[in-house]
Amino acid sequence: MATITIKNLVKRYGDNTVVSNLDLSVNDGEFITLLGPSGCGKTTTLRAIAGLVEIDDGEIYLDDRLINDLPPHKRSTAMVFQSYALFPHMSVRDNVAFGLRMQKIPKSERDDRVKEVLQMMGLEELADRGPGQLSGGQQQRVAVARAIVTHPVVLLFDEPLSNLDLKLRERLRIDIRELQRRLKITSVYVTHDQAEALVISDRIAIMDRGKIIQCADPVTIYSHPANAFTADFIGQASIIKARVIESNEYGCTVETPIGKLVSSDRPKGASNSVMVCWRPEEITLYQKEHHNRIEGKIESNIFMGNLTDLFVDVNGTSLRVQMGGSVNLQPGDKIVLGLSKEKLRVIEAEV
Amino acid sequence: MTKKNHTLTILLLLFPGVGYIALMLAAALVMTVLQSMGLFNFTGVSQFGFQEWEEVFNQQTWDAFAYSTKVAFASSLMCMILAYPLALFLRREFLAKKYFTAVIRMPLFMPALVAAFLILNVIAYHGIFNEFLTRLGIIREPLRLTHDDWGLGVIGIQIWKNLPFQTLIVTSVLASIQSDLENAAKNLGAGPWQVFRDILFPLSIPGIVTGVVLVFIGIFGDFAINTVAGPNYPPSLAIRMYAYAHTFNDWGQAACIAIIIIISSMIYAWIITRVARFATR
Repeated sequence: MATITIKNLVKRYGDNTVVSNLDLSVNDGEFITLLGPSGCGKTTTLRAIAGLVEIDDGEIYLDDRLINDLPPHKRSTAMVFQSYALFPHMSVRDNVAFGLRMQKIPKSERDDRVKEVLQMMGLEELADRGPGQLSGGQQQRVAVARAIVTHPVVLLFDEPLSNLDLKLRERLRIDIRELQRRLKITSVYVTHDQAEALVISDRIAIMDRGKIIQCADPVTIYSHPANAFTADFIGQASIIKARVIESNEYGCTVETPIGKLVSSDRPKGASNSVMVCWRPEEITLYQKEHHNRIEGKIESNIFMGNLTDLFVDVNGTSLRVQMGGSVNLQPGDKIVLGLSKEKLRVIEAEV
Repeated sequence: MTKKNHTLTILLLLFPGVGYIALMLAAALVMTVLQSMGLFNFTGVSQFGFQEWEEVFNQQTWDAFAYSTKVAFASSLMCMILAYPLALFLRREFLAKKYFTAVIRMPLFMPALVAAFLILNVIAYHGIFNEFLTRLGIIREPLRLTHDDWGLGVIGIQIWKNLPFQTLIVTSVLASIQSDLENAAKNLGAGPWQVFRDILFPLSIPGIVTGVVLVFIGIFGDFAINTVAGPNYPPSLAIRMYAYAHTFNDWGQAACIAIIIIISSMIYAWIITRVARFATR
């Protein structure tokens, strides 16, 4: 049970600033995901919490205790590594028992706890095998077992599923989530897989170039991205430049390359030049209730099985539209699209 | 292509590899073995028999064997003990590490004989070391650091000469251990000593044993350093072999010693590997 508070974290490698002035607080028992492309500083941030990288500036607190200068072995954080990092010269049982041995837990209690965790993870039968004799999924479960057996106050996951195939990944992410709910251990999870982040997290912190650019629950992140990067990184998004021509408490009207559009959203900043975005599945064939009517011509029609990807040319701008099932339209056909004003989000222009 | 031709092609293609081994290695070995049995005698009548072997097992040979074994074990063991902390130290970044490493590696570029002469200047009876201590009045008489009966001088020079090599091996073995294993151990509560004892050391044993064996074999069959700094008696096995061949003109006996050196090296290598494997169980 613990909270994590990070203030103004800075990490540089030579001239390269990997994490710049990052702030983050994680509530007790919360599952938070650091999500971003490779090189955005998410793994470095995670390793800073574990004490495995030396930080250049900032403060890291576990509860109210400043742990900047605490060596990693005294931090009571447990990490699941991307490479699993199982000790190759020890059996599964010895791997899991390692942390307890370091804590000088008496042998009888140690054996009981190891047995209990192995049972919980469904690993009893593999207890005497070496890590080399296990499949990727089994190794991953051993890595989790080894981390939770020590009753850590914080669990850290460094892309633990990225080396597994899709089916296994989808199952294990739910397993990890359920395990964490049951144990109620504060967890920080690092991934570059947005689908994984949406499924597993209480909150998602989107990272780009060493900074957290939006931190919110999955629904908010998906439906109200604060900026173009988030909109584009999570799911698919159509993003176009816009100029605000009228704004009031109910929403705004913007001028865009595809015409005038109305939105129930309002610009956050003072600037008139903004961006608007929506999801490709939110734009549909025009109906009366739609506030925005968009006329265009079909460029291409790609049938994907459960949906159809249409690219529509509107005044020289190509829009992506996703519709369920198959659509009987050919390139060159006219189409009238509708977008409700609630679905049109106004975001800050890229700086 | 006919089948016969095909076989010939294969044989010809194999020749550069297999031929080299057959000629340079097998032939030389077989000839040495035959020499030890009285054949191919350069200096006397060639006659098959085990006479050479009966003669070679005398007290002097045993003394030489025991001496070479003792020096090789002591030096290679000390090399390992010294190389490990040095390699661990070199894992860190520190000021002027590049130059420090370069200096440490210097002995790698020196042949054994050159190394022996260099060190001799320091530790000889009237060398810098003894002169310095006597001048300061710390010792009244110079210490006998070379040509001593224990071979301490030789052991010292061997360590000096082989330490960089062993350090190089330990360094690369340590570098090959995934850094996340060390991180995982730290993360699970292991302090620096425990990381070393439970992770780095056991995982590095196989690589390090290879280094120890290589160093051991080199020292066991050493000629050069023993010539310069070895005790008057016993000689090393290699010196004794040389003496048989060139002083006594007895190539048969020399061949016997050569075979003793080869076979004991193999047995010792096997023993060292076995002991290491047993120790890590």
